Amino acid sequence: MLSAPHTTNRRLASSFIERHLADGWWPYCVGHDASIEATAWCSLALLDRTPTLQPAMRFLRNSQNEDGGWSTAPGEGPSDWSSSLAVLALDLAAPDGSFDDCIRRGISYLLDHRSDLFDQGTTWLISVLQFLSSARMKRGWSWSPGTFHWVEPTSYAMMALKKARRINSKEIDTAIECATDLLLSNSCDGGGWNYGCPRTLGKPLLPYPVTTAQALLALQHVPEAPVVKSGIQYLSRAAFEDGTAFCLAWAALAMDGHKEDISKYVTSLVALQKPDGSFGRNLLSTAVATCALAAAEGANPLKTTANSRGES
Amino acid sequence: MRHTRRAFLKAAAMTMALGGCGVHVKKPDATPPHVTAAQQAARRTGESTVALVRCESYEENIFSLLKAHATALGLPDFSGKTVVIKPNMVEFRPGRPLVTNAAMIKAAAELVDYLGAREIVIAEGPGHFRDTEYLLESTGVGAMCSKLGLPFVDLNLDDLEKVDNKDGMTRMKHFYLPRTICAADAVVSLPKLKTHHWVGMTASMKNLFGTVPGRKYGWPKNILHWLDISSSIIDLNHLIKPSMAIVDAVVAMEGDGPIDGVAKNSGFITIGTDLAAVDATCARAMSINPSSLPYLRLANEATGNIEESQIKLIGAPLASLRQRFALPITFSARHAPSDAKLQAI
Repeated sequence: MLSAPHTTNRRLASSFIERHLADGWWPYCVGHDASIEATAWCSLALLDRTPTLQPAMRFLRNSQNEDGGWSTAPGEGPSDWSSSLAVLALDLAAPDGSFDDCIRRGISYLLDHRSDLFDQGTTWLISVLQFLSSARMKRGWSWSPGTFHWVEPTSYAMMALKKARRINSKEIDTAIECATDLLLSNSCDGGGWNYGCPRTLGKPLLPYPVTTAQALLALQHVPEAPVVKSGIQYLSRAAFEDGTAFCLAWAALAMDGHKEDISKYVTSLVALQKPDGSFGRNLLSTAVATCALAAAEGANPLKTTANSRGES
Repeated sequence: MRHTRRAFLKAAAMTMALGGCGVHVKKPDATPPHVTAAQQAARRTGESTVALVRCESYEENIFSLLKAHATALGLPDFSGKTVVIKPNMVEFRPGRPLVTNAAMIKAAAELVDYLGAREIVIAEGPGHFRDTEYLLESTGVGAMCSKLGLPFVDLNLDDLEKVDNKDGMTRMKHFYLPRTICAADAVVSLPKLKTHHWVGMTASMKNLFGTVPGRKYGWPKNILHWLDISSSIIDLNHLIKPSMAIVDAVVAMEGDGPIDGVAKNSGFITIGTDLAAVDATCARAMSINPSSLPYLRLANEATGNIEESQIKLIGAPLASLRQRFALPITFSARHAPSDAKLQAI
């Protein structure tokens, strides 16, 4: 059970986030324009305050593009990586099914917009061959349409699809399996993940703690994989070498997802809380930190269970 | 029979996925960049003046060293203006010269203030690392901004403005740029001088990649590479129109830059209002022929001067500062023979 001080910390942070809810949305930084990522994360941080979330859920529904995705800045440009976070937030904040249509369209967008590695004709041909042979191609999600896959957007999409409990689709399973293969093969030498390029020109690149945490959260269903274990080892050290609230919060969420003790992460995190309840430089950091404090209370919104679908 | 057919189909799928059988793997845009009439019309005319400023250490009074050349350089009058200073904070590795030194930010801010700026903002969108707070702390940039009382804007998370690029070299009809950049009256490029394994060298012009917001284009901003790096460099310089550049080459990077290279005690700073000329001068100081860098060849047509005859050098003599930089090992392999490998001078 959480000790009293951490509960107070979480309450303070949640109140800070609530105070800065604009017209159903949150910005990255106070006083700025809407951000789908910030809105999604702030929603995840306030899952215990559902009345506050209704305007945010309506905002996400109203911001959804015709193709079923979302744009990082609503109304600005095509759908992109932020779609995964919108789906995740809607799914967790509205378990009563009231936004299921929105979620289904979002999932369709995600399944139709994985990374583009080949031209359309070749992609179609490979898909047919894979279907016939039950083979799998490593494939994830990109930051923006028509570009290559990277660790962070792939991790978000996997988290969103795994949480889609109400939709039973083999296509989701296959997409998660292909993305799992990608992440498992894309870790850095010695453990951990960076943005998605473990080597360049034959030389190994270093991992980063935040992207490692994101990959670990996406790979909760394969806890015995050697790269998952080495990633956990790397993160247990690197999170404190980085030491920011943003990093410690991500580490706490990931470690909790893998059933590691997170008390030292949370202790270091709460030491960084400001008097107004916020963490770090922006609302995004505060929201991720609040989710980490929720994890310390056994309410990690990103925790999934044994199988790849997040089902118990 | 079924097992054999499945094995065959699986092998065929994997072979195609690995790029065999002549499949069409997506590659970066290989269309040769074409300088449009509009870009040529916008190209700077006349001679450019660049100052090479000897500076052995970050402990020196760098502002005074730069200020001494302000008049001769024709530095802009920033009276009443909002000026954004854009350093390089791509990543942090202890002991590696990856980012603009915090002392340079202080000097640049003092110079911009001397030139009359009403408001000064330090802004950057780190290309690899989402945890900007860590970068601010580890590089000392955050502490310097606090000491100077200057705001820092993370361009990766800034509000977006859609900027038309119809006269651009890349196929991007528009870019989404940070509002802080679009709203600024002037932008100062403040890079770290480094070799670069895709471009040959990164200095004041490539530094503008850090203005492209990660919330739109990702971490890393890979799309700029896929659009053709040289073309992206030119487009961003045309759209943003930086007023001047100050290049941190007190300690530069050589070898497998821009991340994995090693420190080179170069002992100089380059400053000027024509970024192509500034970069060309940096190249010469690194013993690189500027014309061997594709982005500078394009810049010569579309933005400013790279030829020695068109650049008036003031300050320290180039010959006294020139050193041979170890070059990126694979740069030559990525270009057609006609584009030439990096040519030493």
